[in-house]
Amino acid sequence: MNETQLHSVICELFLNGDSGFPLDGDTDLLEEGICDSLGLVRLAQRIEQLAGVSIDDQDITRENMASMGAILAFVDRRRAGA
Amino acid sequence: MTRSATLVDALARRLEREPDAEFCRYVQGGGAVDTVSVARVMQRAMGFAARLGGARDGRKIVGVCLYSGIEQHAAFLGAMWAGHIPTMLAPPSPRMDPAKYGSSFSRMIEHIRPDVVVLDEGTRQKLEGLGLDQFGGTELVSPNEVPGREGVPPFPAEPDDIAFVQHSSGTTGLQKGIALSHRAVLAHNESYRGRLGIGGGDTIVSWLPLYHDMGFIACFVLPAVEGVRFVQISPFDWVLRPGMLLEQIHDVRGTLCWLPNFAFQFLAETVRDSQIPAGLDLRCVRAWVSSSEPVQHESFEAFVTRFGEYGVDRHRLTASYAMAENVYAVTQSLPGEHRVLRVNRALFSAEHRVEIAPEDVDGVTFVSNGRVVDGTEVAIIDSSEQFLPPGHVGEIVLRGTFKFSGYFRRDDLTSSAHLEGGWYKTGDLGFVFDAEVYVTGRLKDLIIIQGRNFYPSDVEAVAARVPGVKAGRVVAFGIPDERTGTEALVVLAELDESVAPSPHPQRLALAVRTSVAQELDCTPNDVRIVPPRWLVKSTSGKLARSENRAKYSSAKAAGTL
Repeated sequence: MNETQLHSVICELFLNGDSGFPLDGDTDLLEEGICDSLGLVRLAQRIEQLAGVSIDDQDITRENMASMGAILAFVDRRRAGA
Repeated sequence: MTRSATLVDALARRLEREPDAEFCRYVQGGGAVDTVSVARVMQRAMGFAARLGGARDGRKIVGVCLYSGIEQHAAFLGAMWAGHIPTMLAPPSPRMDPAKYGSSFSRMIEHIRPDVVVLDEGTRQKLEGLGLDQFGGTELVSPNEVPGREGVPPFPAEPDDIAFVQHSSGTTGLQKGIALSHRAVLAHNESYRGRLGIGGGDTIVSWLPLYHDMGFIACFVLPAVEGVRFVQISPFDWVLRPGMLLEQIHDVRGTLCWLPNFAFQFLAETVRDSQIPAGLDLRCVRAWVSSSEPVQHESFEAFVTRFGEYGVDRHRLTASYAMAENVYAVTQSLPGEHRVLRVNRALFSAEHRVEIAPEDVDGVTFVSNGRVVDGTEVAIIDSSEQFLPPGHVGEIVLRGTFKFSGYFRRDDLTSSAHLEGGWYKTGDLGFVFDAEVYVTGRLKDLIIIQGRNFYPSDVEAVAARVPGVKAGRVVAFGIPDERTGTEALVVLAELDESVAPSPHPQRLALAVRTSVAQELDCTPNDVRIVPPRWLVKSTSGKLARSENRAKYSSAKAAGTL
């Protein structure tokens, strides 16, 4: 999963499919009003499918999920076996 | 057993009768569980009562602004014990910027004018950091400065005294505090218990916040006062770990569970097999109650399909049409009575009349909310406030023995919400068929998202303050979203052309999203920056929400928006 794929999932889930929406790697998904906590849980599910990593309840934290950058870093860590 | 005349009497009797009985089991995200006895919660409550002092010199308005746990319950009960008027307030959500919370807290103080607000040290420090620790006459109290006490006598209350006030969010919600008397709450509880047969053998499991009527009445006040065992899961933790609810139901053999419609769908979609503990058994639940937002058949179906193998039975899904103005329940269907009506769409749309659709006729389906609870009457009126016969669609009005006393300190709003004969106009549209109530839509501009009420005017005011949005040219509304089982919040805003350089529309949309999320703790689903003069005005010159909603829907369907 790369940033483009993640961006398009976020746009599909929360931004009415508006793929041109200007999200940066550090746009805070919760604080900047892209999605709510329930949305993060839905997003985690899609990331599992897309990235082929397993995400536990305990992984759905601000640290891991706050922004696209945080999510990609989390997926990398998970893949590296951390 | 003689009946209690006030909620305080009922609590005092319970404390005397069963001090060691389990009062509540509190569950936090990390799995921490604290099971508390009646004696322990009352010892804390009496501590708060002593700290607040009796109501001899006047009844204080006490805002309880705490996170889920024993102190939240105790502060509320203690204020009532001392004869004051408590009200539950939303503590800061973890995602909220402290400054934004500070401004919404200040607005809350301004509208409710509480004498005391009970808040934890963390919240207090946030406010202090903003220089917001002084509010004229409002005193801030933290639970950790309140020692527990025993033997504090209750302040003598009268049945018709206001027991507490319920508020919904936003500026508008804060101005419409719903005042309920001891008599009304006790009468409601007796009626509702009777309908669902709630008794000592029940255990209620809830993740619901207490600043809304469903969680507050059905899953706190009723069990606390009537001696029913209950479990309170922290709402902020539940949203990140929805499966906790099912684990708790299994562990305590829960029998009753109230959920807003979206939660049925959310649980069905997000709880994965890997999160389901081995041997999960949900057969103990005798009724799942869907309430607080329109009940969608599809959400129920998704829930049964997902959890059927763990013992969720379609016949145990029930629905309740409820509102704080009637304490809580207006109707409640019973297990086994879940009815879905398919009515002739053409007659429904053109003549506002209900007729069962034969299979070959285009139909629209509605889920029954069941019969009206004892002590409440429901009728349907047309737009000229004439009563309509069963099977006709109009505004739902209600009256009865536990209707609210009025909007707190707002006699003007109280009288405009009532018809002659004591009928309260709910602002909801619906019909009665075979003595059961069906809700079909809404006359008022309220938006209900995940069981929480939002007023479009509050959303519009927040959006209009974003630089680049043209003042007075913003419209907010809700539209049903089948995907999430709740309403989607849509905000349409016109660009202010006088701002140079003109902001990028999508950047501006993001700024609107951020402001609304931060100030109202509610995330818009769609924000569109539309060209100047795109929004439609009504003949009275005001922006018309329903016309703009229609224009938005058709433009979206046509792909022109």
